[in-house]
Amino acid sequence: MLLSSLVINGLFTGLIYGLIAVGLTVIFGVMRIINMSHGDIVMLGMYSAWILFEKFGVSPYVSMFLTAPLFFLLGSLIYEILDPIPLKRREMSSLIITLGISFVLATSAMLIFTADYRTVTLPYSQRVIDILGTRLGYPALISSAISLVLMCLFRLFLSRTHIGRAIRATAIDRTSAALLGVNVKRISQATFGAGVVLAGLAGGVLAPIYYVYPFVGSNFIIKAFAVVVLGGMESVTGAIAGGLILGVAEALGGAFLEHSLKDIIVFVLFLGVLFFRPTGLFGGRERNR
Amino acid sequence: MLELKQVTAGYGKIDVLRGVSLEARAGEITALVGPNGAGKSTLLRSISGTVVSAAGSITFKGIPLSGRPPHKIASMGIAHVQEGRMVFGSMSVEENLLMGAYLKDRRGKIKESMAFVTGLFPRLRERMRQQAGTLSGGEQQMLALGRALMMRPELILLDEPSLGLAPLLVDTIYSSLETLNREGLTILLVEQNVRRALTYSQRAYVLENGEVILQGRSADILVDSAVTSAYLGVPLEGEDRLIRQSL
Ligand SMILES: Nc1ncnc2c1ncn2[C@@H]1O[C@H](COP(=O)(O)OP(=O)(O)OP(=O)(O)O)[C@@H](O)[C@H]1O
Ligand SMILES: [Mg+2]
Repeated sequence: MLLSSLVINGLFTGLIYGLIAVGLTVIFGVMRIINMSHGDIVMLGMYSAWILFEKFGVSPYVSMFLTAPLFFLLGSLIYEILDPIPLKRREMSSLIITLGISFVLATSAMLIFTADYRTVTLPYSQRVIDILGTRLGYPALISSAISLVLMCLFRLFLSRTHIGRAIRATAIDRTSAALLGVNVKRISQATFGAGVVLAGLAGGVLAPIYYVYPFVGSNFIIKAFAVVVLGGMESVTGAIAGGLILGVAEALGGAFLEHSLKDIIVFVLFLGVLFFRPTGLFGGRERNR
Repeated sequence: MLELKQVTAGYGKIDVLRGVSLEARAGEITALVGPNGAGKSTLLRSISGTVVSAAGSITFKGIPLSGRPPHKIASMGIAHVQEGRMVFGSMSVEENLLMGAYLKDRRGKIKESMAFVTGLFPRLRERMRQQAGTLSGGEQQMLALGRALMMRPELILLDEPSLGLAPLLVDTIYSSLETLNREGLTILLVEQNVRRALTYSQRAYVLENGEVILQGRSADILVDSAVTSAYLGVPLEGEDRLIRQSL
């Protein structure tokens, strides 16, 4: 394949990686919780898209928005489990608890759906489009475009709405936010809900372009971590940039390395950045608090 | 307007405040002075609810505040500008100010509040899009104060608004406090600079070791240096010396 094709392919995949990571970062930013079940929520998003497609013929690009409220509910519920943990012990305890949730979700999916690989084949799944000499499948194109739009909308939400600003303010300094009238608990819960909705939406855009199976989430959590390491935990823009870099690096690595070595790219990037730029490629100073 | 009766509060098992009674009257500036570690900030925190008091009562306009979370207390009309001007560093000046108007019933008046705050601190208007963390110390103090004013509070708790500022800027801050007070804002002011605090306030409390050791009209305290040195000038160490010198 041509170099330009690899890069273009990588960029499109990268947008989806960005979307997977955004929910993880916003939850971490506000609550200092690393949600280890994030990838499994993406998996739930994929299965719900698959079911609604199989049973009712609803396109994942539509059903992902219909199921979003359920994901918000799920996020609020998980938050209720984590909320009683005091802030000081939260990073460690929440890691273990969300890892537990991850197992529960993946094993439940296994029991309900079996280990079979499922696919969502849309009427236009085989159609391709030519972009600068690169042939790209329709679903891949649509999924990437939706991911980009969703991230831009989320970014606007964070910067232009009262609740969005309150989420950012709480992430910076929860005491100051509370003193201005922000109900920190409610904002945290809403943030967790929003982060989980983003994971569910990522599942929706992934369903038409990726295999659906119970343990698929573990792939995505690793990618999300890599994106976070590359782009930092600070911003949506960082997640987009991190996703793009990861996408391109993977595409190039996939072409020049043996197939079995392809997944090493993620880890090499991961360690490389941690070693040379521990705050992330774009991470400047530490946050205020 | 604000009344504390025998308030005991602290962190964990350690009591910092030990039976503090204090009153901030409507329309007045009440000063709270005392050496480092006396518990001045803790007192403000127990009013705003960021520290939970263990005993005693705190009432605002006759309504008890104890047991209410900070965001509820804020919505009752109490603003707390913390020590060290805690602005949201990675947000713009404008976003910081908008956060001041976060509460629903304040959102309708954002335009007027903005006009008022930028009228009071024209410097902020020039820097609306700048990141708050890149402002100078004085500008950050103005922003912290401006953000609190966006809440349209009835009572404002100010923790050392002049700390680390050049004298000229301190004058600016204090003249704006006078303006605000003249327009009806009640202020409870914690200040290191005792002379300034006593000059600008109507009543004052001296806190030492978590207890009120002196209270009265600021003018009286300022004049009656015999009383003050008896109470304040005992050890010639640190803050006590500072208090005596500035008297
Ligand atoms: N978050 C905290 N946790 C534990 N102890 C604290 C905390 N904050 C303050 N203290 C302790 O409480 C006591 C009173 O502190 P406080 O900050 O109220 O004093 P202050 O009068 O405001 O002093 P300063 O003039 O230095 O600001 C000090 O002994 C301090 O060490
Ligand atoms: Mg203090």
